[in-house]
Amino acid sequence: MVGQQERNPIEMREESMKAIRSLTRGLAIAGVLILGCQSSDQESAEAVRVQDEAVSVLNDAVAAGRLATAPDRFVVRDLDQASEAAIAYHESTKNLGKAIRTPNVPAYDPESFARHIIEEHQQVPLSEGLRFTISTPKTDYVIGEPVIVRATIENVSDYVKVLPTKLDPQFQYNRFIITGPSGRLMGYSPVTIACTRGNLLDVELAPGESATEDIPIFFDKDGWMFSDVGEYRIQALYRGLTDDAERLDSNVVTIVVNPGTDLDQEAADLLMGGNEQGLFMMWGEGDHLEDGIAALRQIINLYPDTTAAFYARYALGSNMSVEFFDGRYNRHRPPQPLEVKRYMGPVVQAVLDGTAPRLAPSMLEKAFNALADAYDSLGDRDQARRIRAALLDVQTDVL
Amino acid sequence: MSRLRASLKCVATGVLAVPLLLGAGAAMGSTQQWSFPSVLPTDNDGLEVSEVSLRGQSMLYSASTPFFELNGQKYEFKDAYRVAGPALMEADGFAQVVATYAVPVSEGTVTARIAYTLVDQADEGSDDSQVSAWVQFEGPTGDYHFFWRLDPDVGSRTGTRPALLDGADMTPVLTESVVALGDRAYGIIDLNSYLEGTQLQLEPNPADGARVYTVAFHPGEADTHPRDLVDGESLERQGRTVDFVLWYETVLHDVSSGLTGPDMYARAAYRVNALVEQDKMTSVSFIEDGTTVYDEYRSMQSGFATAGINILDVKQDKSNIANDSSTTNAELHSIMLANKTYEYQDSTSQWYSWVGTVIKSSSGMGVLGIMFDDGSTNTDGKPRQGCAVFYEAHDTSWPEGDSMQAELLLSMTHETGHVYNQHHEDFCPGRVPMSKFKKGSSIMGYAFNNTNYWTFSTGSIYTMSSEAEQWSRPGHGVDFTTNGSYNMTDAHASKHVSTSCRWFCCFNQ
Repeated sequence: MVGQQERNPIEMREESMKAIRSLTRGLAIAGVLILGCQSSDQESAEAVRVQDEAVSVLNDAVAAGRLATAPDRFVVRDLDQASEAAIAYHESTKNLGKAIRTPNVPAYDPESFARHIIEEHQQVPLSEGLRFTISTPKTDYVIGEPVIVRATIENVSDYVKVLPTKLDPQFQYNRFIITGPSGRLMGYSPVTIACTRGNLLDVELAPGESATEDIPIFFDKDGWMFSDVGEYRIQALYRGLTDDAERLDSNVVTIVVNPGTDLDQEAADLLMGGNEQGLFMMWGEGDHLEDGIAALRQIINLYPDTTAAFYARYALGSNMSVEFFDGRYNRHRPPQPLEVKRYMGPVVQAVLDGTAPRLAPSMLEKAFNALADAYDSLGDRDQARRIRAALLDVQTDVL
Repeated sequence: MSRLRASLKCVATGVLAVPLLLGAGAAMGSTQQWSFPSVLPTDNDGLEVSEVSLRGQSMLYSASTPFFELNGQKYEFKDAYRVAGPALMEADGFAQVVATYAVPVSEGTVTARIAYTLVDQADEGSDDSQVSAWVQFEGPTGDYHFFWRLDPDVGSRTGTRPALLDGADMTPVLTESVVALGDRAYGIIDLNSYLEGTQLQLEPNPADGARVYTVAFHPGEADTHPRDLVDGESLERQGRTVDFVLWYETVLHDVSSGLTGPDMYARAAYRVNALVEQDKMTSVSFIEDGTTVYDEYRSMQSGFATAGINILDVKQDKSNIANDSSTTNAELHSIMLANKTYEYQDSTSQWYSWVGTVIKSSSGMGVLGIMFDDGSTNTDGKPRQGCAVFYEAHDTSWPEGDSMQAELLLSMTHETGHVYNQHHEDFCPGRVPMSKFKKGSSIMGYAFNNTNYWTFSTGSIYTMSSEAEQWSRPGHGVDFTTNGSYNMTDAHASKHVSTSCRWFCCFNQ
C-alpha cells in the first residue's frame, strides 16, 4: 500500500526543484529546451494536492485488491490544461514499463533430452536395405587430437534407394551420440544448422553404391568433445526423412583418449583453451579467427614435437592452401604456397617418416595435395609429382 | 510503508508538452510498454483516455469517464466540475492519470477521483498487463450505478471478435449480450493471431455488483448508452472505426464511498519490435519482404507477427559484399562479423538479427539457408544472431504456382526463425493434424510454399511471445543447441513433434 506522506512545504519545494534540475539535465542531454516549467510555493502546494489525490486512489485500489502492488516511488506531474483544446499529448508514456522479462522458466536438462532423442529415434522402424557404418582411423588418441569419423551409407539392396546423403550433423539427418569416460551421455551439437526444403537434398543410391563422408566431431558448439582422458563410445543415428531411409543406426566405435606426455598435455591445454582454435581446425580455414591462429602458432613454437603441434601445422597449412573470402577486407585472399610449404611440408614429411599420427583418409589427401599444389604454384613440378606419387603409396599402405 | 519521494509541478502547454515529457521519460530510464498518448478532459465526457496500447499493440480506442446514477438520477463528470488534475504518475512499469471532480447532486456533492491505471505485470510471473478505469468516490448515502463505455481496439486488421470466456474455455462467438456474474468474462481476440489467450479481457468484479454489456455499434451511429446486442449480429470491423463497444456497469447499494470500475487484462500480440538487417553480395538481389503466392500475401513481418514479434523493417543495408561463388561456413562467419551493424544489436525494445544473402553454399545447391552463428562460433559475445540465404540455390524448379521470390522469402523467414531459437521440430502449424514436416508445415518445417502455412507453431508462438527473452532473443539468449539437443524449456520441448512423424503429427497441437 502506498503511504501518505507528511509534507513540509519547504522540503516539497526543494524536492520539486531537485526534480526539475534532474529533468533539466535529462533534457539537456536530449538537446531539448525547457520552457513553461515553473516552481513556486503555490505550485508546490498544488503539486502536493494532486499527489494526495493520486496516492489516495492507489491506497484504496490496493486495499480493495484491485491492484496487486503499487510502485514505491514515482514522479507526479500535473497535466492540467487551461486551454480550450485541453489535450495533453504526452509521448513520454509511450516509453513506460518494462520490456525486459526476467528468466522464470527452468532450462530443459540437455542430457535428459539427449536420452529422449535416442528413445524417440528407436521408436521409428529400422529401414532395410541400407548399411550405415562409422569408423575412425585408429582407436588410440592423444588428448587434443582431432577425432574424425568416416560415415558410410551403402545400398545393400537390389533396388534404388532415395535418401539424403549429407551426413554432416549440420544437416540434421545424422546425429552423433557419444558416451564419455564418466558414462555421461553427450550429443554432438553442430555449430551450424543447414537447411533445405522438400526433397531437394535427396539423391538416388543405386544397388551397391555408397555415400561416404569424413566428419570432424572433435569440436562442437559447446566446445571440445574429447577433453577428458578415457574411453569414448561413438554411435551415429540417422533419419533420412524418406520412405527408404527412415531410420539407420550405425555400429558403435570405441576410442581411447590418452594423456600423452607432459608436453602433450600442456600443448593440448593451449589447443583446447579457446573456441577459435577449435573452429579453425574444424573448418580448416578462417583468417579472421586471429586468436585461434595465434594460439596454434604458439603451440608450434613452444611445443614443436607434440601431437598438437602436428595438427596445428596441418590446420594452418590447410587454411593457406585455399582461397578465403575475408569479410574484414571484402575480398578473397588467394592460396599462399610458401605458407603451405612451411606448414604442410613437416606434416607430409612426418607421414612419410612414419612418425605422424594415423590420419583420416581425407586429411591425408588434403595434406599431400595441398603441398603438391603449392609446389606446382612455386614452379617445382617435379617435387609436386613426387608428392602425389608418395600419396598413392601411403594410401595403399593405409588401405 | 512506501513513501512518495518526488513531486513536480510543471505547467506545460501546447506543443511544448511533447519534448518536455519525452525528456522526463528518458531520464527515468524506462522502456517501451504501455502508452496512452491522449488524455482528454472534455466538456461533456470529463476525462477520457484514447489510443491505449501495450507494446505497440492497440488495446483500447478510448475509455470514457463514467457517468453515474444516484438514486435513479443520472449525473455526468463534466469538465466544469473538475477541481484537480489531471495528473500523471509515472514509475517503471506503472502509469496512472487521475483527476478529481466535485459533482453537485440532489442530496449534496459527490467527490470523485477518476483514474486510469496501467500496470505491467510481466515481471510478476504473468504475461498479462493491467489497465483499469476506476472511480473513487465520496458522497451522500444512496444507490450508485456507474457506467463506463470502453471501446476495444485490438488492432486494425479484420477478424477481431468479442468472445465469451467461461473458465478456461474460450468461445469466439457471442451468444448473449449481458454477462452474468461469476468467473465468465469478455475477451477481445484477434482471430488473425495464433497467440494463446485473449488480447484484451474484461472480467466483471463481483464485489462491485458488476455487469458487462457488449453492444454492436455501426459506423456513423451514436452510442451513448448500453443496449442489447442482437444475437448473431455481424460485428465485422470496418477499418479503424469502432463497431462494437463494451459497457461496464457497477451497482453499489446504500453506500457513501468506495472504489469501483473495470479491470482489464491485456496481452499484446506483439511482444517486442524487431529489426532484421539484410546485407548482400553485389551480384544477387535483396530478398523483398513481401510477395503474393497462391493468392496469399506473405512477408517476414506477417510471419513473425503470428508469434508476437513485430518486425518493423527488413532493412536492406549493405549491398557491396564482394561476390563469392561458393561460400563456406567460415567465410559466412567472417562476412557477418564484418558487416553487421553493431549499434543496433543491444536494443531491448527492438531486437536485432542479421541475414546475409550470398550466392551459393560450398555444401552444394540443395542447401537453401543456414544459421551459422551459434554457440562456440559466437566469437563476439552475441550468439544466435546471424543466418544466410543462398540465392542461386533458389533458382530451380518449384511447385506450380510457386516462385523463386516466395521461396527466398520462406528461406529468410525460416532461417531467422532459427536465429530466434526455433527448431525444425516446431513444424506443426497448430490444429492441422495432417501436417507433416515436408507437407503442410509451419514456417519451421520443410514444406514448400504450396503447402506451407505462413505461421509459426504453437510451441514457437508460446516461446517467442511469452517465455523469458533468453529463449528467443537473438544475440542475447541461450545457444541454439547444447549436448546434441536444443536449448529450450520443458514447456517448449513438450510441444515438439518428431520430424519423421508420418500421420496426424500435430493432433495435439
